[in-house]
Amino acid sequence: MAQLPAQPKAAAQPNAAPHTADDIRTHVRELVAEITERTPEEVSDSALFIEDLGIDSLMAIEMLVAMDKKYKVQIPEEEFRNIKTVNDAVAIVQRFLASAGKSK
Amino acid sequence: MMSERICITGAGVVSSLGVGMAEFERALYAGASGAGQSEILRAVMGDGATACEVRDFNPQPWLGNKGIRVLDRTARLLCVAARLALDEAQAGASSSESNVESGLVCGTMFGSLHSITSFDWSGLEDGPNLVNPMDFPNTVINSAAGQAAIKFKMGGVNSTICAAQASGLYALHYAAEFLRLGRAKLLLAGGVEELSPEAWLGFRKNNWLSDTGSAQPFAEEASGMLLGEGAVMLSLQCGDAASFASTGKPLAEIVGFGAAQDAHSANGFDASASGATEAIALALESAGASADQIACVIANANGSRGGDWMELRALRNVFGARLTQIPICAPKAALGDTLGAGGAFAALVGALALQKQCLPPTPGGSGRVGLLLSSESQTIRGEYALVNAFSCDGNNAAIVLRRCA
Amino acid sequence: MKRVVISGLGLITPVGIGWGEAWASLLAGRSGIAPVESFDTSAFPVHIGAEVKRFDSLAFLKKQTPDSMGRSSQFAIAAARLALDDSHLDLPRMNLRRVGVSMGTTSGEPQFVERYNDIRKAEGLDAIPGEMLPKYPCNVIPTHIAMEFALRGPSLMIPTACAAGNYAIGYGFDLIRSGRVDAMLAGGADAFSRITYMGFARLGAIAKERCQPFDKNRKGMVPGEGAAVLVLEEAEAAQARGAKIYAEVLGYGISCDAHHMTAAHPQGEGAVRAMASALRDSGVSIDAVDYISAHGTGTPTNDRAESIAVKSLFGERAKRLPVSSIKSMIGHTMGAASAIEAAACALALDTGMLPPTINYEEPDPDCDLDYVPNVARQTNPRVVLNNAYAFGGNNASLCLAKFEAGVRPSAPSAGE
Repeated sequence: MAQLPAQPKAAAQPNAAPHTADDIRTHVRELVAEITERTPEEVSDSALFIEDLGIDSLMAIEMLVAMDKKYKVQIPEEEFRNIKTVNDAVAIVQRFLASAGKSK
Repeated sequence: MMSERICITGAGVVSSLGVGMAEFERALYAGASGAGQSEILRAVMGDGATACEVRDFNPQPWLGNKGIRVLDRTARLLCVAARLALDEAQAGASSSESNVESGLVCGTMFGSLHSITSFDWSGLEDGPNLVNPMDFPNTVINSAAGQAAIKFKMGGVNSTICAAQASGLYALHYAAEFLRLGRAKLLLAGGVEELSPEAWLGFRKNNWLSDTGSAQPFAEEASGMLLGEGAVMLSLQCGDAASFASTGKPLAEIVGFGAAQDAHSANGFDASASGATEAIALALESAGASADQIACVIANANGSRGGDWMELRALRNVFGARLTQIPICAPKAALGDTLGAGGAFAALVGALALQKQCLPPTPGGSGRVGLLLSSESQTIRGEYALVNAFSCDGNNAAIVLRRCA
Repeated sequence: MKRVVISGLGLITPVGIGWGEAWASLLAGRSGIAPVESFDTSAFPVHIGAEVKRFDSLAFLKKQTPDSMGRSSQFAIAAARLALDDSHLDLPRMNLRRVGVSMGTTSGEPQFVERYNDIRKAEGLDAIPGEMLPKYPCNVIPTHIAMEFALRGPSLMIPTACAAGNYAIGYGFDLIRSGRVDAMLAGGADAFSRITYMGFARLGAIAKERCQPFDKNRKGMVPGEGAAVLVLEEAEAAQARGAKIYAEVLGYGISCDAHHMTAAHPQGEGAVRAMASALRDSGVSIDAVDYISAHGTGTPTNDRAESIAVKSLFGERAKRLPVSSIKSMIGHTMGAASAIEAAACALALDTGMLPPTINYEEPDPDCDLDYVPNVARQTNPRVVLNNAYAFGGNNASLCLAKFEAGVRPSAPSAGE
């Protein structure tokens, strides 16, 4: 049986352009829109994930995985559970990107 | 109890011959074939892969904009067929309360094979932490049936049945028993199968596929089968004559079922046809009908020699010399082998034939081994149709339908 | 309607092969949960599972070879052989056209999918051997049993995931009850699968250390593997041949939450309907039920929903009704789970003993029933319910009773 690869560690990307806050916001909004089957314009930065957008626990993990994959970070589920809006999600991605950068 | 009848009161169909009963019926009776270059397979196998695919399938008109994203192809096929069947049965899936007296019984063979393979592949490629959790529910074999129940709020029985190519008929029998026992009022029953690259590759590697681009049931020169896909949901209801008087005339009544396992091979037909013969005999017996009363046969034959010849032998065992006078249709010439859905498609063809007293054509199927198999429609006269579904793992099932006069 | 009894048991479990060994382990509160050996879990956040260790398929396969089938089929044949031996059915003297097979599973033979992808990754699609495909679809599991014992009656798989065993036993029961067949081999089988493991791990549903159903600190389920096959037989025929009868199958009920693919209905709405319809089908009142074998996976939401369901159906009586989960010991054996649990229910009726829920330490206010904590208990139950719930919202409850010739235990027993 083949060995499954471990999750990619936050990779040093010296040549990659850094993710700006605007880029992250656009991406997160698109992601939320896709998961909740809305257009990105229908997703406001402060809409509540559960109450306003109907995101359930399965959708939340989908979002977490998509963010981990895109930004090559590992946001713990316990921390992710605390985020409630697009604003929160952008903040947590920025925080993990920053700490990944420092650890290199 | 004796006056209670199990009737097919409507059908929803998604097939390579069209979506919805009107399209399906028109193409079926025109002798059309669903075979062609497969778009699904092209992506993986390149050009030249022929199959009976549901082309340009877009579930949106039936399922709306929301909720399609999480459905795999099997679930989309099934949900559209269920939607069409419910609309026809006017059971109204609009209520927000779940209906505990309605349910769904679905036959399938490979079920979620493509979804489960893709999910595992993503784990191999990206690691187990980056698999999409939304794809996991689709890996279980009963996912399509569960998704349909959620979509249409069917809170009653929800079962998935796998008996290879005999799945569809087992599913109809299963549902009929539930209705008879009073466990449900309305059940959708039938089958679904999606065309998956994984299954197609396996069939090709085993040299089971036709190399001519068409399937030729019962032909001496047949080289193999074509894979097909689709979903068919028959709405079944239980009642006496009076109860059906108000709902309009049913398509047909299910009066007999028989099943027998050859216990011979997990991967080949029993040339003696003992199980297939037994299944037909049991179906006739439970229908209280004699072989002489059968007006037409909907055959299992798909163009693969082992299975077709076994079926021929079973039909000879049951009908003797009269076999050459019984009109036969082999729908897999038009639809390909839709595997777990095949039996249910065959039952639908049988029901239509009884209703119209006209058997649809078998494309390219004239004058084979002395059978009344024709590339033209055939007039039939009689009350009963025999429907066969025999699987490559030795599981044989047959049902007998009666015309609703 | 004919009556149907259980006259043979065959078990392949993480705590023992054969019902003798497995039942002794369950009553002793022994856990079969250990570090996973089937595949490398180093890339996973969790590492435990409930695997069947030291399984020798050659001891059970007499007509077929292990390489002609997957591990689930091997388990299934082994369980079937054990059950048939246990039943002392004289197959050669029976009409084998009237003996069938009805099995349940979650994933069928998932290890062929895993091998397919491993080969595809290492060598490409061209290297995939054609012989793998026909071994995959889950219908081959009952077919392999039928082939091994030349059983020629109806044969099918009901792949309704983690509730499949109960569905399969229910179908076998229906066929005998209606007189279509004389006997059925019915149960469930599932082999340990990295796909299943990966899915549950990603959902965060797998416990890191142990399985603690209904405990306040429960952290999740533990995937497992195994099989169970029950010999179901028409009651008069079983009595006439002097068979050992473990229990009678009284009836079953199935329902669908129609709510969510993976999450149980929070109020256990579908679970209540399944239990109620099982009791209706069986003709017994709620007061007659002496024990419930819980689905009890050990996830926070499942156990809470199931407890709520039991309370909403049984009312005040729920507090005095023992409910235990053997998944605390054997993990969640997927499609085999409810079949193994049905066998445990039959043994509870036969021996008078209830298996415990182990690892139970701290009561949860949301789960305030009698879970038979940690130690087996003698209660001599007469009527029991076996609950099973699955992805897709598929629920099935099976009702078994102590067999008494001439009477059906439909009335509440004295003193209830």
